Amino acid sequence: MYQYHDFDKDFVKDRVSEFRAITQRRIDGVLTEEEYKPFRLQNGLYLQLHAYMLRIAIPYGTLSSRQMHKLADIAERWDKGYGHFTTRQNIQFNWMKLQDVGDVLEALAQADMHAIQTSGNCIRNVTADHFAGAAKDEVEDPRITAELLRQWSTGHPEFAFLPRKFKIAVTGCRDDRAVTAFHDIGIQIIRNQAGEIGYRILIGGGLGRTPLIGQVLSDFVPKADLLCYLESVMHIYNRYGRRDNKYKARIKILVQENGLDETKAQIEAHFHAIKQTHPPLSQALVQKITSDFAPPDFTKIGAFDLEAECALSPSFARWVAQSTDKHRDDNHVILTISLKKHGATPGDATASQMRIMADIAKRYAYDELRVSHEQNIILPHVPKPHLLTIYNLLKKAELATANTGLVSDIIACPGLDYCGLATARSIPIAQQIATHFDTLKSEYDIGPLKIKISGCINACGHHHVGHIGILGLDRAGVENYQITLGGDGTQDAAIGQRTGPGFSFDEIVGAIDKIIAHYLAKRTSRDETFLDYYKRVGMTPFKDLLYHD
Amino acid sequence: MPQNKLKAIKGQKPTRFAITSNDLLTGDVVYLSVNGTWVLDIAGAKHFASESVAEGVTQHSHAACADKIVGAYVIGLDEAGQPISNRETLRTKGPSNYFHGKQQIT
Repeated sequence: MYQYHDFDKDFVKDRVSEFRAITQRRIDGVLTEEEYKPFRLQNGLYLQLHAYMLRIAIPYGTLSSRQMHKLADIAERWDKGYGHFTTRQNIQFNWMKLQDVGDVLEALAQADMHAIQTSGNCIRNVTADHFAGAAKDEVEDPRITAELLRQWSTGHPEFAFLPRKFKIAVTGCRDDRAVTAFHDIGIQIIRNQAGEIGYRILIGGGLGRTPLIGQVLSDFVPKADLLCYLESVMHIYNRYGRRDNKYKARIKILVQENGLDETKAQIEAHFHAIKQTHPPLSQALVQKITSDFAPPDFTKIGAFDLEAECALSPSFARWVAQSTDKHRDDNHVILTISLKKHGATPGDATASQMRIMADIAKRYAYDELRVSHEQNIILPHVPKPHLLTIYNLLKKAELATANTGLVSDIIACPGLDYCGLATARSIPIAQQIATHFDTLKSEYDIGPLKIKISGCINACGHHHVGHIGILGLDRAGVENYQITLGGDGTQDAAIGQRTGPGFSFDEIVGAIDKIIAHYLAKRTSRDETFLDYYKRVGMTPFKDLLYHD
Repeated sequence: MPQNKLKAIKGQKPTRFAITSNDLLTGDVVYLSVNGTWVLDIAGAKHFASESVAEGVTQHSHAACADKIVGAYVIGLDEAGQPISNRETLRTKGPSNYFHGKQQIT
């Protein structure tokens, strides 16, 4: 884990003091809301429908047990006993009071955390593959690069007032779990033919009202050039990105309007102009960060017959099959803890659940947790001999739902229940779909299927890349839900296509049921996933069953 | 799995209006009352027959209370004095996934 230096600690502490002082001026009436609002947003504090919402940065989704405990303390002391893990690997608290936020930020600083740059037109929290450091096919741990980018982008004066927000994701694998093709900049760590490690850079991806798949800006940027290259990207965006229309201000629109070739030419001209004078990347810094992310000593765990243990308990076996992935070390697994108990709010965890996950990580899993963009918690390094103990502890805490990757493992934004931008509710739709298929006991038969729900066109619920996407809109005052099919956020990136007119709140679960029942009836075998089936047959049969039957 | 039933009617027009905001310190949803204070319960909200009159009062009230509230605006109500939009119904009742918002107060 990255360890804060004195510089980091002082920086965060100063920001807490600044927040307290400026907030007091707002409370005293010295500052108007118009003057105060940009400042509170730069510190992650929104005013939503019912209360203030504080968004806390979890860099590249990585937490220690101490930090998870601190989040639990905040949930209990200053919120309503729970937190909401987001699709940006952050956590949000929905019930903050303005006069408490200074204390909350101070508590976060004690655990080397903050809420800086979780809002505003700046470079946001850098996200990474939640299997970082554990995945079998990884070229390099992406958190080393993500941490370098965090240090580079935090408080960078040139990037504090960009045309719009800017999101960067990093993966070290070919299997893209970080949705890099749908970020302003997507970075894949690769090895070239000469065996050198560098970066493949995607630009101009994004979701929202104009979903676009990122295009390859560079096939290979050497490691030493990364910051200089990205600084050139930011410089061109800052200079030419549109500021006249917020809906056309993201870099994806600049790339779309000017074309990839022109944008690339501008970026590379700037890169070559500044390269000679750009400060070289400090190898001492890179080595320090690399050592912070050194993997645990996996050799202490010997071979273990997990299959024999699974044979003794079908429910444990089911959970293992559904919740674990192959680890780089054969005696460990990567464990996904589902925050999607059937009927619960996707991504929510209570303070006591946070503490249990933290304690398990501390005692059994090298003191490390991750937040995935799919709103689950990952224990990246779990020794196989500890799995049964962990399962029993999680089960008692209602955290052992064996549904990872299935129809009830739904991404949902907070939607109209909380969000000031939303046009329809997301959470109740997710709850009803999960409960429906749990009642039918059909989700294992259905197999891998990603449903993603957004409560407005801004697409925080990633509906464009759901195998089944649901977009909630307001139509003449009532909630209406459009369905998209065939989206994919992986290395096979695809934007879902709309089936047709939307469905009412009361109709949408039935429409999803029809789609899935059709797939079950028509697939060639259980090996043909929903996405495979859609790719084979296309949209027509789904349109027929939804609108013509 | 609690859920607020939303009863918005397609294309429904408001018959009266009220002024709402959020409390600066707590963020709570508040409504301008008859006596000019800000109250938590929509049942205590002052009603206006005219949207333009409500808009005028909003500007005045917002300016007068800028150190107490954040962003006052006019909402449409039905005959029963309830909001006609889903958004404002949820602000009145609290979120539909937990009963711990306005449900605890009203």
